[in-house]
Amino acid sequence: MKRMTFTELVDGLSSWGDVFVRTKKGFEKDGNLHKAKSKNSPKEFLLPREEMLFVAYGSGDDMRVMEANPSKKRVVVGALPCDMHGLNVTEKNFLSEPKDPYFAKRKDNTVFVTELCQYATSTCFCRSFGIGPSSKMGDIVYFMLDDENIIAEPLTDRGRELLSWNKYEDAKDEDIRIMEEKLAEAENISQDLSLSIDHKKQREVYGSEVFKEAVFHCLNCGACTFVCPTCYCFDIRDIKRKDFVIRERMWDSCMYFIYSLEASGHNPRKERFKRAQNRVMHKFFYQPLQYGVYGCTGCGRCIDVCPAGYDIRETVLKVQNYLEVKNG
Amino acid sequence: MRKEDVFVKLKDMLERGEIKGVLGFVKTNDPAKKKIYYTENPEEVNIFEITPFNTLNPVTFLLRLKRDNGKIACFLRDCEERALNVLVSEGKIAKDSVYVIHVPCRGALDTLKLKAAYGGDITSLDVQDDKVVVDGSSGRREFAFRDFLPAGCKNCEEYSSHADVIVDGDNTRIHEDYRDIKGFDTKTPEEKWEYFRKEFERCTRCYACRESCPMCYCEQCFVDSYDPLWVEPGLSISDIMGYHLIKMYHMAGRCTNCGACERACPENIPLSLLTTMISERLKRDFNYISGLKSDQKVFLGEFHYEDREEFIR
Repeated sequence: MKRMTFTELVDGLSSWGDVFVRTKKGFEKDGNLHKAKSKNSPKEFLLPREEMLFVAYGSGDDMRVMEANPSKKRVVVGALPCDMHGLNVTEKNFLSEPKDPYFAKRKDNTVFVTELCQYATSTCFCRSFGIGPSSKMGDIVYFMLDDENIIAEPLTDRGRELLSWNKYEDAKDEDIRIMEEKLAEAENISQDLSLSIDHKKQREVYGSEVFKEAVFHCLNCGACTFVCPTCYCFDIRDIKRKDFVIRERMWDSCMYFIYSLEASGHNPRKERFKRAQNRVMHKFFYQPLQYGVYGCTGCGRCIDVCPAGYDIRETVLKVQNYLEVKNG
Repeated sequence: MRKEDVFVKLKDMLERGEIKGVLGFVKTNDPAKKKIYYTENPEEVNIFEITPFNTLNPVTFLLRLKRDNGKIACFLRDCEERALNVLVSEGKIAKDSVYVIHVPCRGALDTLKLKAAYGGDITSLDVQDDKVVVDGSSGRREFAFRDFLPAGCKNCEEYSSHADVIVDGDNTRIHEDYRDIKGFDTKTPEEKWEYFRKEFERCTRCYACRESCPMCYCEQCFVDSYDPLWVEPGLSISDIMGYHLIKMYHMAGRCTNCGACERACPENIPLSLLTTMISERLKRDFNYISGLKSDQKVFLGEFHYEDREEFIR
């Protein structure tokens, strides 16, 4: 690892593209680094809240389509291991065949600079998912020694090319010692739920009393789904104007009545508990079955943001316990 | 009645089948957050908490419970009991299906706002007179109680409870005579628009305000509709305002200003300022306060043949 200042890192990267830094709210252009988890995850860099996919105009034989080409080069600085893991999980949906071209283009044009995490709080449980505060991910990884000095290293070829690493001196033994100490502290705070859910038993819990009770206090608002680094559900709508049509894609949430409303008028998730249940089932049963990885990264943002005091950890552990008791 | 005695009474009533269950707030892992809980187990009644940190309105959850066979006991503040009255007058809840336990309240704190202001893990919270003392990973800090109240809690209307049982405690209402609203009225339309634009720009349309509101009981909300598309789904300020202003229209004469919407908002948008404004206008222009009685006439559900406006005849 090389020793440098945070400013040197940001300045060095700014020649490649616009730099977005972790702030209290999310990741903002030329923002000041917030020394804690941000409220929003960086998923919007690959899947924006609202994006135009194409514009169609003209009529008859002269119908034309102008497709979006998200080619803006961007650098995201300060994504934490849970955020990066979230993007890796999300990627499995968008980059497995057939690939989502918009997501893929955005990924090619975004450099992720990850910070090793010393900000674990009581809502963190990333260690439950095979990652932790010291997991190295992204193109470049760094650690904040104090408010300004950092130690950093590239992890990918792109990361190696972005900075002239040779001009910086190597990290001192003392720096590494401080880093290891701080990361160990964070490791201690981040909870490991020791998950051992048998995903194939999904039918045994679906619609069960254990879910009804566990999610009773959930409001069914979509706050958790928006701050979640792995919630990627979207809605596509055609917006009609006089001379053209815009096809837009925007975030959606499985908490909403309209999300699962079918054209016939039937709604398979009409009951509130089924919607709250779906979010947990998707992350802890369907995604592991389909992609071999949990759809949760343990960042704890959903717990932080929840106005109703809902804690996904409680639900997951109740469900796990229910399955264990049921199956002996 | 003392809290402990109320618990004994509830346990007794549950055992004798006089009530079916109890709805109220209980602890969570986070001292700043309480969660709603429903139980039919007599042994569990003493876990309910009566604190200024109970952010949501239990009446919202009362609507979600089956209320057909047996009464449900529910811990309610003044404004929440008034909300229940409105729902009874609208025919949404049968009056005799709820056993009302009145709880004392000096105002319900916006805990999400408090947590954001503290900025760390909270290990303990205490309300001492006009202060909230918070302890946790960012050390011991004090905050002014009033600063974390929604506008509604600063303009709480006089109400004499019709509850079945009343829990003792300090029930001193803060009524600042709509000081904030009157101050706001002196602004120009441009200044008002600028203020609301800035606040509402943060809205992510998570609909926590709608879900936390006992008055929002429509099976299908107007925003949950593609055809007709009343409001476009995006995050442009006109779409956001379209949602909020139409929602506010539906609040007139029904909202009892409990402030749950503002406390539920993850972006701390001052929604209660709008609902308080509605309350102030209704009181000023029509001498109407919502939910004072369960047989009160519904403000917008009434008409008179003698009305001086022609359209109503």
